[in-house]
Amino acid sequence: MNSQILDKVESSGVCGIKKAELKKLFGADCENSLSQLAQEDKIIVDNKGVAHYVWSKDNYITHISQNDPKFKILSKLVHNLEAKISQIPKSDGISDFKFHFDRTISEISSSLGWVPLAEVRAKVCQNLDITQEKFYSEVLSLVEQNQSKYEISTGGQEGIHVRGMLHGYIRRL
Amino acid sequence: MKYPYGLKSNPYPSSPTPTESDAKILGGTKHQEAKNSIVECISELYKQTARRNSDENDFRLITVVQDVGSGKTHLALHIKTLKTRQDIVTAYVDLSTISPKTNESIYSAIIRGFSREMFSELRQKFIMQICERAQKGDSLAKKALGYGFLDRLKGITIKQKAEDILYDKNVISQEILRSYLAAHYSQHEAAVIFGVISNSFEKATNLDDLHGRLAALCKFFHNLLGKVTLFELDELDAQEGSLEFVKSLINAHIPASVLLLITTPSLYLDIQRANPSVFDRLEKANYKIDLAGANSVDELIEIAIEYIKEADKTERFNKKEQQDLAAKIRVLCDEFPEFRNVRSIINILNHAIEQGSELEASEITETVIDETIKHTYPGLKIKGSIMEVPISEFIKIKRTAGATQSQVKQAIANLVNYAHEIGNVSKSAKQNPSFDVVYSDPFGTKIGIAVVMNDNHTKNFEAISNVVKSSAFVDKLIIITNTNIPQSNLATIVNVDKSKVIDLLYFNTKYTERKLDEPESEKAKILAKTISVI
Repeated sequence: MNSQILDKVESSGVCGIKKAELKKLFGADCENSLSQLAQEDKIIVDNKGVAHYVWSKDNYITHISQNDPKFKILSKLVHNLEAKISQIPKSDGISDFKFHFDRTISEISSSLGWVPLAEVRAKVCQNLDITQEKFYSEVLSLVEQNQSKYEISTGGQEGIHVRGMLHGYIRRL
Repeated sequence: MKYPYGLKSNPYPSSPTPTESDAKILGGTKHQEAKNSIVECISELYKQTARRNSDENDFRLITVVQDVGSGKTHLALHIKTLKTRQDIVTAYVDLSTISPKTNESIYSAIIRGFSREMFSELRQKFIMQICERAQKGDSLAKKALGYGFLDRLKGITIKQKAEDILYDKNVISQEILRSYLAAHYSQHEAAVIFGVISNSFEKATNLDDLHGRLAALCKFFHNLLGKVTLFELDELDAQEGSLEFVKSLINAHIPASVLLLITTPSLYLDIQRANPSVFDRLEKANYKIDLAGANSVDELIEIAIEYIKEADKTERFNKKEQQDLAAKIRVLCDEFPEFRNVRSIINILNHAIEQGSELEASEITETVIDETIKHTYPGLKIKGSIMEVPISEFIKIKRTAGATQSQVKQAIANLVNYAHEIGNVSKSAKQNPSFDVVYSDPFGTKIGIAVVMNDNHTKNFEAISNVVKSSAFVDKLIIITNTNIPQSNLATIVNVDKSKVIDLLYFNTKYTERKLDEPESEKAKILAKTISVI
């Protein structure tokens, strides 16, 4: 019965449906179902004029946003805020990558600070769920853009190619 | 033959690895700091042992770990060639030249690694010691010098006999020398003195011989010449033979000596895996020389300038010329990772000086660099350049590009002018002050371009927000910016990186000078397309 009542309420749209009408349709026993649906936040029961009306949650928000001046103002403010948030540049992948990359280097660093890129790659790729290709392309641009912050060294089985040589070791300066 | 900066010869070494002669010059703050640390270590040890016999506590270990081409070997050879400090005797050994690496082969290399002058000095001391003993009546010493009854009758002195041997006028009897040494010295000391006097060192077949002889040698250098011995082992690898030797040498604590080990980060970590026991010893080195930043652009510039300053006897290479060369090197290193290490920058500058001489240039100009790269690195191109900007032009633009926004605005305006001239677009006679240029495409769409290229990205956000408010004046708004902002329904955002800026500025120069020839005009069209102008 609950799903039938919910369908009927949703189909009533922004105007909602009188509680009394629901009782007519589904019998007086529907009171329990309505209480249950209200508890689950699937429907809202509120007064409209002198009668009790029932709305689905989304329709109720639309209803009060259109008819209640306070909610109307609040709704506009929220929309503006949402628009502004969407304009803010999302936290870019590079800084996220840099954070994990730097942290991993610190974790596995030896006394001189040099670490094999293969070990850093294994941890960072696992944490960020990125491919090996993506990892090394990020490392290349990170090292290129921060030449004074990282130092790379030749050797190893995998790494980045600079001056035609495989650089498989890195450290932070 | 004349060289740039009035130099009489090319100051930059041409060999891929430094020689002792190349290493006399040491530039760069980081390299100087490393040198000072090593010299400080040696000096401390020297002071500690100056007025007493050295013992096993008078041993020091130094490690130098840095990437290939960063100047480690140069530093080691520089220390060896230091003329100002008289308290060091150095044996430089390149372990990569020894195969197989046995105790015997490494010992022989160490002996060869000392300079001949040191052995000559030691030889003189030994022969004069024999002379003194002979003068005091030691019969074996007299025999060793070949001094006999006839010499006494002829009036030849013991000292004269000793000097004859010293100046190779007479040969010492090896058999008698051995007897003399056996009577006065320990087995290892005798082997060393015999080797020095006869200039023929016997093989050290076991570790006991090896350590005993090296200790004896260091003792003689210290007691007779007043010098601390520095063993420089370059290209240390993780091979069993190398590590066994190093471990035994560290454990032996050879008195009045310093062991300097040079390796790369890769091999250092290989040692950690291959022999944790040796690695642990290396980790506890008295000095760990960190050449961090040895390949930084500032360091490379200092090194490069030091070579010319050393060779410049006329002091023609003044501050202005130094700054000028520094700026060119900086652009080179920023753009080409190929040159970002000591070996590479020295190599390209060696070629540049030669090229400059051929072109009769008074300094290393952009053209000289361009020609050098064309000849020496023909495959090298400016990355991401559509206009295929020549390296000389690239360096000029990079060095002169100041107020980039105004220059890019002018370049964009001229790119639209060019597109207008070749019939791709129609430039509006009436411009709108909200935009940098307004034109129409072949379908009559009115397009406005705004260039927002400040270094301050917050300012750019504001400027973009303002220009978007005027988007209603045109059918399509293009914003050219260096700020990374998401695409919008209100404008087409074109992000320009440094290579595109260089392309635009290069195009602008060619266009204003009316020097756009056929292949470049095609490239200009492609450039206009990538900027969304056409």
